[in-house]
Amino acid sequence: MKTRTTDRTCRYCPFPSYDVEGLQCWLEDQAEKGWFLRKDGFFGPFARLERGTPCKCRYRITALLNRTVEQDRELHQMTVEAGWEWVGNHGDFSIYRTADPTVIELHTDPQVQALELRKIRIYFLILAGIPLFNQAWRYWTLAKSCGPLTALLERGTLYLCIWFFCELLCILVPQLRLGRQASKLRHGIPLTEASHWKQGARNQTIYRLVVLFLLMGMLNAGFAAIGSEPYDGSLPFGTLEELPALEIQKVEWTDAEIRSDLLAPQILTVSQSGEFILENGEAAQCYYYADYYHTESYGVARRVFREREEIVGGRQGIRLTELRDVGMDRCSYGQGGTSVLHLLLRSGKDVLFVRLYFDDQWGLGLEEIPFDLETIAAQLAESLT
Amino acid sequence: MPKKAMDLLTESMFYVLMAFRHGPKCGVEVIDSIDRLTRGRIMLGPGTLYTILGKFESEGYLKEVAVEGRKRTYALTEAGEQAYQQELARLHQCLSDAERSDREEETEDENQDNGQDMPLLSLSQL
Repeated sequence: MKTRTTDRTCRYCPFPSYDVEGLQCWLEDQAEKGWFLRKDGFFGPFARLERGTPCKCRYRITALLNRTVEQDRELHQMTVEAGWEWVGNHGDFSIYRTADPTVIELHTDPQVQALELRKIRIYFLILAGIPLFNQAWRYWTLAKSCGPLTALLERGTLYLCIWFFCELLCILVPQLRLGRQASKLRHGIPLTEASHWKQGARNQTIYRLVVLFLLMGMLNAGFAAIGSEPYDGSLPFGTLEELPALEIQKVEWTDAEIRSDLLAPQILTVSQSGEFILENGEAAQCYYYADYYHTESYGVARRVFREREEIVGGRQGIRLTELRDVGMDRCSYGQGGTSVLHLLLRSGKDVLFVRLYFDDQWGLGLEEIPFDLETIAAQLAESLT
Repeated sequence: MPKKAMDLLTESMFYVLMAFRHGPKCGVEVIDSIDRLTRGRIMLGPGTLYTILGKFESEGYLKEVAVEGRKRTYALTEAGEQAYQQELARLHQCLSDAERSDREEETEDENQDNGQDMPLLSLSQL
């Protein structure tokens, strides 16, 4: 019976490019089994190998960042002339191999090799730090406009937490690994032999699985947080139709969306446009925008309410009037400019923010709101209870 | 105050500076020069050499003086010469401390030996 021999294979490599010690050991182990890395054989965590005669082959890895391009070319030429075969690049590292035991080592001074790894560490830190800085800056910008907790709800609490944890892992693990290798080198121990490299391989694989699991969780949480769906169910608060004080003649359009977050299982965003008639008989428009949070706890509700109150009352400079005895934990309203009414309500774990814009038929803000603001606030509070 | 990384030169780094004291050189010439100076005791690997060259160039110990195709020639700067002299002085100091320590040990041994030649006096003689 004919047996099929494979000359080429693709194998999972547990070691990333920065794990010089582990990667060298793994490649040498494969060589002893008769599998040799093909030219530019790495793609991601997989290595393309080809069949050869099993032998004791040395693989050596050198970082590319420490020299100019011209110096790298000179080094490459000298290394090849010394008897090494260039196998390709893997990330920011070059891989060489030789089966000749008389060929001089690529690195003959471990402490000098530690200098090489130091620059790589700084480079990796910057590389991993940029997305962290970007995400932190975006969150901070949003938090400045709506408060830190509200910003979490907007961007997705679970998504941000997983993202942050993932990013920390991606920064810390390479740093720890490079640091450990550099420490060995500074003590004069070359990275040519590692007795526990198989344990290291298992650890790296577990780390990769954890990161993959976190990434999947993050994607899932991200879609849930920012992917709002249209909502046509009943609303737990009043809209233009349930506010008789506004004397809305007809509601022209309604838009409602729902999403959820770890800290607020139900977040509703509603916008409406309604027509009403002014005293002089002219038609006018009322635009209704509501942000409703059914939060996970009383503390979260209090905090979200306080943040919005600080922005409306503090930053926007709107004088808020407290309305009591309306069955709410908190109920405030305030007029922004001449034609905007802000309503802030909190009851138990529910928080509702409503903005009402009053425009004339030409789309210009009215000179004054033609309704009693306290009545509107009371009717909205009643609809929430 | 702890010394910074470049204050302490490794053996390879010291010999690279030593090689450049005899004139501008390219990479291959440095390796050959060190091989000759140390009579084969130190063989510099290409990775080590170019890491040192890159580091010395960024620290200002070496400067590039000529380019011929892929061959780049470097020369020692004043800062490099100063670093070499400092390291040489440190090594001399280590050597003289070691020699002094050996002499002190010899003197102690001699004193001990002299002490053993003295006869023990009996009580009646005291």
